[in-house]
Amino acid sequence: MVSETPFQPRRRGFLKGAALGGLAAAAAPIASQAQTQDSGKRAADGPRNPGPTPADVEATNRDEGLTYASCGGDYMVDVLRSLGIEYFAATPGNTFMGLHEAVVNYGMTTAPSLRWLTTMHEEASVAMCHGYAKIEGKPMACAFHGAVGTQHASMAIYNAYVDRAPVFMITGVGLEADRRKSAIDWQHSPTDGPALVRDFTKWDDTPGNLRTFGESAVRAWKFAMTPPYGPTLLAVDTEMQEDEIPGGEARRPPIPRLPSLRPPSGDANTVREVARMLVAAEHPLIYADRCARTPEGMKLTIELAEVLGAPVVDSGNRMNFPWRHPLNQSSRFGALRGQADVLLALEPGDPFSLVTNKSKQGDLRPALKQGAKSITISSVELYPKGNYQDLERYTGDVDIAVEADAEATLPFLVEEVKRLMPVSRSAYDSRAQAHAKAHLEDINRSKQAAVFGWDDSPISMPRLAMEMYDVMRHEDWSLVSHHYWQSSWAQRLWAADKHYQYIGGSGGNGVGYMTPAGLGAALANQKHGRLSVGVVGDGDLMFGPGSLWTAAHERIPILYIVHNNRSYHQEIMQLQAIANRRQRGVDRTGIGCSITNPNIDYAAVAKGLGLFSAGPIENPKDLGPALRRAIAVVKAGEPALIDVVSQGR
Amino acid sequence: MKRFVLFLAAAPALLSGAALAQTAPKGDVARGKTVFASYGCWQCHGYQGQGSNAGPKLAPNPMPYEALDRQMRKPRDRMPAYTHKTTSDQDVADVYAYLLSIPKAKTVAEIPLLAGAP
Repeated sequence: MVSETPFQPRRRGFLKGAALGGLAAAAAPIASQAQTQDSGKRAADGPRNPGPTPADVEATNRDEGLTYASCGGDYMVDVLRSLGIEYFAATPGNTFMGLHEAVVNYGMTTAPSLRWLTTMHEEASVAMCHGYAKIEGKPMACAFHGAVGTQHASMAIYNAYVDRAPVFMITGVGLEADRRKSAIDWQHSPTDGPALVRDFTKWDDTPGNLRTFGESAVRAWKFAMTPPYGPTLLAVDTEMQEDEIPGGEARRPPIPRLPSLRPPSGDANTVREVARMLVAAEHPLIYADRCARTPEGMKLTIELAEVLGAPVVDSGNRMNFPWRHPLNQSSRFGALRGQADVLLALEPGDPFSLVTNKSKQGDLRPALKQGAKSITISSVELYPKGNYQDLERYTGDVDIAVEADAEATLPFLVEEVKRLMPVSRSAYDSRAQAHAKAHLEDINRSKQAAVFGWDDSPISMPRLAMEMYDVMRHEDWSLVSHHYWQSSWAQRLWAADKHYQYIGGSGGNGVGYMTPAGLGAALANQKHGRLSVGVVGDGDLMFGPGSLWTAAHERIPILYIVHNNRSYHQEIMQLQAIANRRQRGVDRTGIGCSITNPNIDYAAVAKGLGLFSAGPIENPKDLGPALRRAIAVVKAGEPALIDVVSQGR
Repeated sequence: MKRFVLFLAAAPALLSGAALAQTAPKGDVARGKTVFASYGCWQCHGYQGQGSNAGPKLAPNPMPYEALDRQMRKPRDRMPAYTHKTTSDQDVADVYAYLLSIPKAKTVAEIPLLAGAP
């Protein structure tokens, strides 16, 4: 058994004796002096202090001249590597320089590599982790400065939290006040740094020594990766990173073991009951939100749908179901919901809106027909938090709420459904055939709808989607952005059947997500040789263009396509609605929403940040050739950007 | 769920636009195009009235003039109201003339990228 390593004092061993001796000698007169003052008050003409405090009286002062062979930072690197963490994204900050140095001089030079990635904003560091996790299915690490770095990172943390994405975060903090060297050290060392983001992190800790850092790091990874996934944060003492391991290398704490994680699944009786309801239903409907955490989740959802011949509506928050599967009925949710006698919602983010219709006047009525049953299987409510309202409105119209991870429950549900299926499948097969026919009709409707404005400038969204698909379709591609902002034309017109081909959106709808999150996803795709393409809004891009430099600097291949509608488009539509409600006209609603005068030359911005770029593309005929040139660059391992002057949606 | 759809302006059941267009006041196509852009119609409906997930298709073959006028003045669903205080009858007529002028689109078969879509 290894004994506990004490946190205080963390003096280097060979200094300890002398320093303590000095402390004892020097402390006495200070105490005596204090006791001579009446009520502890200094006389008006008395001395302000008894004189200088020698360095050896400061019990834990730094000795900048010291060298040593082991350090806390290296141990932390080893802990991170033991968790399978391969990347460490950060904008540098002096509260985690000890870890920074350990990553670049130890983590990156010894196997398995822990690679440092330089970002230009802490929000980008977190968002990269967010996008990475949705492709790779595990966290990468990021670090940010105490106080100011956490403040910068906060919105991206919120996005990851709402999107149920695992992120492993570290912030530095100078816990030992007497070792803070400057005003900056004080300003960046909050006594409870994680408090700032605690409302939307899954767990945080401030470990008091290296051994507990190891334990807390493993626990942080474990919690991040237990459904519902989420971001976790460790506040790590600056000196603990920088100092020699107390007692030297011989006292290096062990790295705690990570157990094999088994997410919670629904209990057998409930699963059996749900299976019975699904098998007996005439019109079952499956709604898939963030249910496919992994490729296995998508495979199981397909299996369940095929056994039942049941339609699936995919929310678009993950790649839950192949876009060209005959049972994919994502565009028919309203009609199918009205018809459904059993609705099964897998990890729904907003059960209320699934089962409720709200009129313009605010009247509510059940969306399901009389007698229909609704079932949710969701891990989200296993970890509720207050303040932020990501659970959305409560509904009393859910009949059975299975508080469990959907993906972990699906194997049992599929097995039970199969067991209960009658010998004759004819009713189920004919239901599936009817849905397959509707799916084909829907594709044809989408194609028919895509022709309008096809040759227009600004470029239409279906034209953009199909020009993109034309150059991507023969590659192993991955769309690392949300299709919703382009009116979901990708989902409507493309074929996608692999989990990594689509990652959904930001979760919390904090602007500035896509550029760095897409880059994190591209980083994960890079080692698999996939082509990463992301469509980023112009407003979103300008929240963090520094991520383009990171892409170039770190040589992460990704094609960014700027959906340049020259506005904060969502907001301009809302402002128009308000102005018209007040009958003031929309003439001035561009103020504050338009991104014009001057128009931003995104190609020039990207070029200045080291990317191959083209644009602004205004003529749709120029789009295909520009995309082909950019794809060639990306396939050669570099990032590229194309600025496409586009319709609003 | 589509959480950001603002202008789910459900187009009324339509008769042929061409059939009822004759009842519309005379409009100026060029001015209508300008109004369509400056009044922000394109933000949800696209410059060619092709529609998006924020607003339905308006052209070619627009809804009858009366239906358009009614929808602009007292919209159903979440489209903003364009009342007489901000939008004249002539504005509506010009927008309608512009929508009528939008030519018939190519067919899917005439667009190889769409014809070859999966």
